[in-house]
Amino acid sequence: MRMSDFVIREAIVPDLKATTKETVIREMVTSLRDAGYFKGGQLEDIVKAVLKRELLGSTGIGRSVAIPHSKHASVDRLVGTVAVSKAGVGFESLDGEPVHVFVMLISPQDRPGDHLKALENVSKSLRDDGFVRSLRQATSREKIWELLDTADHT
Amino acid sequence: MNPSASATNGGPLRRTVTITNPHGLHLRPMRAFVELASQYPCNVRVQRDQQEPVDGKSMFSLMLLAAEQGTQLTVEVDGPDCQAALEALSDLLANLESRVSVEEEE
Repeated sequence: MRMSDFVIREAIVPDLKATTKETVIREMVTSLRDAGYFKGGQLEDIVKAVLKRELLGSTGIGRSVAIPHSKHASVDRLVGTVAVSKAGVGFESLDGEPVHVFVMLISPQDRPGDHLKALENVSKSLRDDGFVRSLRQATSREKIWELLDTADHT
Repeated sequence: MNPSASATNGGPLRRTVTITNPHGLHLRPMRAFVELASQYPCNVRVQRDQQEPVDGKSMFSLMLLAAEQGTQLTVEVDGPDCQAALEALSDLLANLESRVSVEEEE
């Protein structure tokens, strides 16, 4: 599995406006909705599910990366998006530092293997601090896609 | 070579555990593992099959394991207090259900 297998290109958010955990999640879910990946009426339900997961423990894994996620019946395959905050957002991360790069994963109910493979993939790309820095400096959706695509092929 | 002999020599000690949780070793138990491992001064590594062992105190490393249900993981420790760390960490991996029971119900 590659990043480009689950990251929806049109849903990438290169410059998040949101400055809080809740609004980051809302902005990312909205972007996935706008890209046509689930029905509009389910927006609130998915936001709620992702926030509920955060209450069980932050998905901020340190090194300025977070992976907000949930299962939801409205998707029939794993879909995800990437968002970048230039300013950084307090996310109760493992290392206490603000988060700049967010990878959201919405999975079908019955595909735990795909979720784990996606996490493996996220780590393969984002454990490289230089790569994370490049993502943070990217100013457009296309540039972020290009970086993810390059990481997929190295 | 038996485990107690290697313990006398200061390790490494190893124990292999099967992941029985239907969701595998996902992000939340991974974080619990990292937090627990970080409480011990010893080195902690986790190995899947014959792959390169990864650092047990790093989320990014554990994510590389992609350990779904049925995967066997070997916890490997060496250094101070490593026997206690091995007990606690292998116990956590073997009992993910009880550690993360309230989630995923809907």
